[in-house]
Amino acid sequence: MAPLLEFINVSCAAAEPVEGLSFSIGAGENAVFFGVEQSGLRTLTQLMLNLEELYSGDIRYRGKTLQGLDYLGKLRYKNEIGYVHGDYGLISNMTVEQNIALRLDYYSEYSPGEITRITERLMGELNILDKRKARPVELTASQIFRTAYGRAVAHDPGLLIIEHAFTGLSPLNISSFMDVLKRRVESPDKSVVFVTYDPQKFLDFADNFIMLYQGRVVFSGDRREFRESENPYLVQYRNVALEGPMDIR
Amino acid sequence: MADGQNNGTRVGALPVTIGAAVLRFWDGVRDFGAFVYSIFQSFKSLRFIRMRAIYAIILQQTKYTGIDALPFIIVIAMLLGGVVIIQGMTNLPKFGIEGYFGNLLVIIIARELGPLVTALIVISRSGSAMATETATQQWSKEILALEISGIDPRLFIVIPRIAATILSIFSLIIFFDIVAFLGGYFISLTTIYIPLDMFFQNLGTAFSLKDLAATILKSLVFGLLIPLASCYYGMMPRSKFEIPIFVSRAVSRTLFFTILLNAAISVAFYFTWLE
Repeated sequence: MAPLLEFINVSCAAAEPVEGLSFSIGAGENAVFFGVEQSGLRTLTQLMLNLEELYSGDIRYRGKTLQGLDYLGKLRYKNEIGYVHGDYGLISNMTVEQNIALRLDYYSEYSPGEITRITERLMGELNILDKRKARPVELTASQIFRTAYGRAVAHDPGLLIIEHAFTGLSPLNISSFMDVLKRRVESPDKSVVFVTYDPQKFLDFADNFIMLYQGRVVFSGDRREFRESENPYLVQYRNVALEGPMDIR
Repeated sequence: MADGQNNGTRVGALPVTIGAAVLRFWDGVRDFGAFVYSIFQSFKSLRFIRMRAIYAIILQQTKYTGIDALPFIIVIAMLLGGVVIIQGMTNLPKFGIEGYFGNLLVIIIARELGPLVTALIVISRSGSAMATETATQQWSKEILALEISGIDPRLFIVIPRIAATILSIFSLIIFFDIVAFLGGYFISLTTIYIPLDMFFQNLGTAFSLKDLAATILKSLVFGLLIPLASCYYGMMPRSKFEIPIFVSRAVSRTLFFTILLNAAISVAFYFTWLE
């Protein structure tokens, strides 16, 4: 069976260039991509989201290439994925409920009643039911994140990409959210990709850890290898050390 | 010698400056053309989407652009109507052409002032608001979030605003004309007496299909231009710092092209066969 997402020798000369990226994520697998600033994480996310189109190599989703997709092909792909980023991008003139229901309202075959039920269930799980009529400006950082997460999973995507999403949140608020995330990552046919500077946070969730530096993969391994490997890049990163193979400025 | 060289440089620099300006203008036109094309392309996703999401935005925008602007339009239409009627009634007899009073009113108020003043009010209220809102959405990554959700921002942001602006401008022009004639008449009574039946009889005979066609065409053109230009410039800022720059550009250029197109349509109608 084809992996859910596959990068085959992908290079891209963007502002944060990447070179020769190859990895695959199977359905139900969860991966963490990490690295220092300017390591290529930004471009990697853009490539996964099909927002960066000038690249060599191949990116495949469920075995089908993303290269050269037409307008409708791109829309279909975007409907297969969910994305939460650190800026959240909630629509400021919509309520929490409208933000979460946005994609369902726009695309799905659900009736308004079904959409309300799905949205209410999500808001209940995310503990923001009491904020359903609130606009983003009235929410705390953690509630904004939960709303953005609700919007990203409302259509139950096969692949969820979470990029630097916990930045600026209190560790306690993050902990209270982890149970929700756990249910998602334990789902056998759904995958979550975390793009982060703080891979330790996802030790309990991820199967694969991939580290980038200067646009290349410098470490790739499972949870145990992430903890124990003597890879010099990983050791420097784990120890938050300025000395090592990476030039930190 | 140095002066001669400077003059030479200045003379040589002029064509370069003009050439660069022409090229910049051409690039802008091409870029705007690409933006308009991308809007047409977004229609491809129409068959997949539920229109209820779009209707809600059209209603919201129509309320803001049309209904909320009504008090403003009424006051301005009354004042302008009054001024035109007073000036016309007091000055036309001096030239012995008071018989053309009705025609002049229709041409000035219905064909020219109504659409133009309405468009200027919509630009200052809604055009600036659309440009600022879109620019803020661009900066706060709301547009990116829409795009990644598979929602074409052009279809979600621009198309409902075009529909709402066309609808609003057309309705506002009709309101403007009615209020300008009626309100203007009553204001003019304070300085000059015209029998009501004579006033409206004069207007009725002066109105033609041409006036209606010009009003419809202008509301369509302005209704397209204002949201298109406002959203186009609104989507340009890449940082918070650039937001006021592009909002100001959106308003000033929409104003300029509205006046230009208004003149072009008026000239075109001057030569048409419609009566």
